[in-house]
Amino acid sequence: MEDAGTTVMMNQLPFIIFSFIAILMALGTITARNPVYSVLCLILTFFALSGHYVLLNAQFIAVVNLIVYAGAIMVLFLFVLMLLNLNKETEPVKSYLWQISGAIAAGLVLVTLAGALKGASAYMVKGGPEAEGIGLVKNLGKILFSDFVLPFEISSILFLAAMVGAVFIGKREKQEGGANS
Amino acid sequence: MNQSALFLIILLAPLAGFVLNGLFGKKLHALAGWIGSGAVLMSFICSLFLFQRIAADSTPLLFKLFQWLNVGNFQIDLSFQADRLSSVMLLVVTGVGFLIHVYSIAYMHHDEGFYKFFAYLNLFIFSMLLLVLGSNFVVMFFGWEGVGLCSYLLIGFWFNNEAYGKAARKAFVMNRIGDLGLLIGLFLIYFQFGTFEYSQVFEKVETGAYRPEILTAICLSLFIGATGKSAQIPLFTWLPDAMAGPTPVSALIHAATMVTAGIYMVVRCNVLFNYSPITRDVILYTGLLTSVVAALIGLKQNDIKKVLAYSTVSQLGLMFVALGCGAYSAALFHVVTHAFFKALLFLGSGSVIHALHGEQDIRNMGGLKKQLPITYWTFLIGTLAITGFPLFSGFFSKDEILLSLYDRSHWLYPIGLGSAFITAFYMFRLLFVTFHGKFRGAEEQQAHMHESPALMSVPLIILAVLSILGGLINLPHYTGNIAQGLHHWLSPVLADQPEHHHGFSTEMMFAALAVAGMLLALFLTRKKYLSDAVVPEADAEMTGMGKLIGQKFLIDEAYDAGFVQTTEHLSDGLHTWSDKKIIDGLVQQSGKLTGLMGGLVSKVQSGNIEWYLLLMVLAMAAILGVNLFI
Amino acid sequence: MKALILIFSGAIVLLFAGLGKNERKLLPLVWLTLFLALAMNGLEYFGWELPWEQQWSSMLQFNKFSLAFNFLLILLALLGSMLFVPRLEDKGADVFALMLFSLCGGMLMTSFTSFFMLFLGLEIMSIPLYVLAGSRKEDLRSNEAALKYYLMGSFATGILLFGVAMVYGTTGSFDIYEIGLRYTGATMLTGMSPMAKIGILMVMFGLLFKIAAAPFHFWAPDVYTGSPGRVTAFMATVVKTAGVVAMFRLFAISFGIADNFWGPTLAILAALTMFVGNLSALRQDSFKRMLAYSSVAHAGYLLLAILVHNQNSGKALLLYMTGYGLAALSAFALIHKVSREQGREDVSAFDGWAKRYPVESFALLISLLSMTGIPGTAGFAGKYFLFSSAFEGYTWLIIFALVLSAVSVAYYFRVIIAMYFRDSGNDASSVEGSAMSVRLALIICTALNIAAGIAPWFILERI
Repeated sequence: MEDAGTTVMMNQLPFIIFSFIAILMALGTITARNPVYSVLCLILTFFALSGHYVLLNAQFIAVVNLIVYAGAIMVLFLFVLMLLNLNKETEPVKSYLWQISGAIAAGLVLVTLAGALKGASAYMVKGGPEAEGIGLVKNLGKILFSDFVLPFEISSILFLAAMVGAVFIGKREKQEGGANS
Repeated sequence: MNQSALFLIILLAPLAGFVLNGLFGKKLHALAGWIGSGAVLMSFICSLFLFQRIAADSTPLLFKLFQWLNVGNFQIDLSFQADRLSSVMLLVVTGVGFLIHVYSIAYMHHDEGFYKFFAYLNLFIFSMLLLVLGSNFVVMFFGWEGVGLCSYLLIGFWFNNEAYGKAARKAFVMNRIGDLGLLIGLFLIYFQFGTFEYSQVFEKVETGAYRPEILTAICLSLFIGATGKSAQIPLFTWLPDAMAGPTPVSALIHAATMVTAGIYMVVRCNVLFNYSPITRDVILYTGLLTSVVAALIGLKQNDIKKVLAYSTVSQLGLMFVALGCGAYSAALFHVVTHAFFKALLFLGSGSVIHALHGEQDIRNMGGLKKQLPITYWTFLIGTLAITGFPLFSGFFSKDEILLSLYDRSHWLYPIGLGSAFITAFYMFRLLFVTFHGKFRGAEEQQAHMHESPALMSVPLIILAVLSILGGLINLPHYTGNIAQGLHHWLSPVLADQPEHHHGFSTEMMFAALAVAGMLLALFLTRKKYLSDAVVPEADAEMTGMGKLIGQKFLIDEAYDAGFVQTTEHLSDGLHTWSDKKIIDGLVQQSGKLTGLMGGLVSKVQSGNIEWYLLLMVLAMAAILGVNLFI
Repeated sequence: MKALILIFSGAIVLLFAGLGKNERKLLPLVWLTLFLALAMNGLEYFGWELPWEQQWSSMLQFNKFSLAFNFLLILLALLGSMLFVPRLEDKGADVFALMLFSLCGGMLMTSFTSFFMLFLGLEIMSIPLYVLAGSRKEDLRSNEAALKYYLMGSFATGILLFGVAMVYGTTGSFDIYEIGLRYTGATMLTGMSPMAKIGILMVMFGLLFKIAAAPFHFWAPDVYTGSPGRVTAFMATVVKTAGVVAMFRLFAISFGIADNFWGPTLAILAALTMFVGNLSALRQDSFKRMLAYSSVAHAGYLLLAILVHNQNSGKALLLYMTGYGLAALSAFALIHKVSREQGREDVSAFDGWAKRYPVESFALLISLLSMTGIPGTAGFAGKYFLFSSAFEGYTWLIIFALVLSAVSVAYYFRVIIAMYFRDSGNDASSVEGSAMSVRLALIICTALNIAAGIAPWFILERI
């Protein structure tokens, strides 16, 4: 019995480590006073999540997650922070009352969920023959352009909309736009 | 003419009048009034044809316009039905409506909203026809809401006065409370019977396919609806306030037609109410109480229209008494005669107000008999009819109700009689103070006083004739062959009617009793307001009473102290108490309560996003917790 | 599908057209796009299908149900674009393009068969709206609205995704029909697992947020008030319709079998929503804010359809949304007009309107009567049908709803009184006529509203 228990532990060890890092860093992201630390914590969170993806056999997603989120987006964040010169002093401080009540409320949800899910078992996705290499780029590409082609195309609407929106926000007003800023 | 064309013309003529006047009224000028009246006349003529057909054959005529909803087993038709009951109502609504339209052409001629007034009046007639002609509860509800809306628009017609707007809103809100009852009743009917068609519902009730407690709930809800529209306790205070509207409106809506919608509805559903004796008791006692309370309040009113308004409430109470006794034909009989004489009285008061350029306080009138002869004589006829002077229409209809009340309970009969007595008292007071004695208004008013034009006086005369002869449609038993015309006419739509045969002498005795009471009132008021020329005191100067009484005979003093004063005090008390304090207070308090809760709810809406998120998360935690662990 | 493609292409064309100097042509282009899409949708409804469509429409299902709702969405968007005369600064092509994108998202939400599509639709609908809410950049209130909507919206999206993950965890599928089948088996055998329960509830929270139902409605009054009128109208009509329909589909198809689990919770939330919406609206002086709360209240009534989730309540939903959508559009448009004219949005700004603007006042009268539920308007027919379809199962809730809708008379009629029974201080000289398109759209809204009230079977038979 003990032996079986240890094997499970051993198999789950990377998962536990990654989860631990992810949760700790996520907490760091929201508690750090200095925005730069906050962003760095977030990057580490993404790293940990990429680790999870690898464990789930989704190598492609793991790599993309690193490149896009931990790479591009985070660098963008840091740039913005530097350009706006945000640091500890300019960070608005919320009263402790809000922080505490927020923590309690979120904690309540957490406790409820944890309590309810304790011992619950998930539906097991059957591992078919193709399940082996499911996360590989080749299979992913195949599936993306056959079964999932419509959602794939439709997500282009989403990105286009988001892009137009971003441009719209960033656009300088034509007439006396900067007057009151 | 074929039958569906008749239905269509009856319904669409007023609607067309509304559309025409509403869209092009501004350019039509005086023509707007004639278009409006003509539309109603057309309905009236077609109603006569329809009436003729129904007289020949008592099976209801059905006319299905189209299916309003049709989903699975859920079907509602926009369909109409003319039977013995609705044909009578049809004639009253279009007939009296037409006269009032004609009257309004002269009465409203200088008003800048002339065309709008006729548009609303036509819309009202259309809604009322929907209400009366509908063959199911939903069509009736359409009309029911429609008349409420029109009444709201017309009460607030002269919106320059803030108080009028308030009166309009009060009327609408109180009506909505009633409508809520009706609506709940309708849902319950569907829930219980699975249909809205009158014929099917009644058939199911008669075969006993219902749960008694639900039937009682249905009847009570319907009755709550009726109290709202027909101004019964506790929802009656809007009607006197509704007198803010132009006088023809008061005549048409708040006396002759709309307020009788509740009575019509109960008569229509008589099958339901017959199987729910509890509701009938509730109706009886509510009606009796309303009748007495409103009559007492009417005693002390000095506004000519307010007196008539309270008398309307009181008369409606009497009709409900008849309904509560199960004497449906008596109630409908009184609806018809009341429509005649109350429309006459209101139009007469309108003629007085017109002549005096807007004066409504009877203390500033008096002696109008000479200058306004037609108005006086017609008003006199109206008064005699409402007080039950022998052979006038009110005499027969009121006796019919009192007789059925006697059958129901010997102990309640005196209360009904008392209510009739008080009615006679304040109506004669109104007549004497307004038309007899000396003129008490300003000199200038007297100089400009003039009898109303023919457009106004002809409808008055026609209504006066109807008020005298209206009793013929349902003569008492002792008249032999021609007796109980309306009762027999209605028998196909009424389930089982209590037959009361008392023999000639008994019926005569009751009639004599009522007449004696009326004559006593006539004598007393004549003495007080004519011979002694007592002017009713304003609400503020109550103490002046003693002086005036001092000159009277001992018997007068005794009577005054013993009866008149007590009733008058009671009347004052009731007015301030029940009307102002209790009812209005209740309405206000409930308004305050909702306002308070509204304030609490919007305080939560602080604009602070952390606060919102916090509340949302807490709510989530609560919902999850309750669902997962309990 | 074709209508969806058409609208998307229209938006792209619009973006290119925006490069040119001729900004006057932009709005007609929007109308043209939407009108064509409407026609296309109509053709699709009557069965015009191209050969490739079946094959490519995985995860979307264009049946009568979704096409009828899509038709309504496009119609509302078209009327909405006609009703608001753009201010100078709003004339950019990007604003219109964003609206069309958002409409695409809404159309996905009425026709999804997979959680993928639901999520994509939700995001495509919401992201342009976050931007649009703040499209009046120099107006602080607009900025605040955008930020609030964005922050709280992303929060709600997170909750929704959490729920979706849980549902996937218990069924192993994203397909809504598949999930329905799995839940049937699972609930019959062992009762629901806590994971499934959490999933359903979380999905419910996320969607309740989108339709502004209590206690997730807090964003609505602030965002509705702060956003430009055009966007508010869009949110109150198109977005609300799409959200409710998505919720209806999901809860009817996937979670329908488990309604004795989520039913009571949703019933209580519906009651709470009606209560909060109606009573808060009573206290408002700003007409726009009053309508925002009333839109919360209407969300409460709409939840009744989801509670019952049968064929009839789907029809009721279509009818109700038609009535409410048409009414809300013209009401918001006229608020827009009054605020342009007088710079304020409170009820007293409407004093004496009937004299100055007879047509506009009549349109507003009909829409307010429709929202109140007076017979003869679509609002009454919708409410009536909705309530009666739910009466048997939820009698107490219907009676509660009836009482509250009686309360709602008080605040709707304040505006009617102001328009018809009050005099304005300034005289008729300051009349500023509406543009042709606005007038036309108002007349269409009013006529459709009355027509749907008199002959509701026409709409009901569409599904």
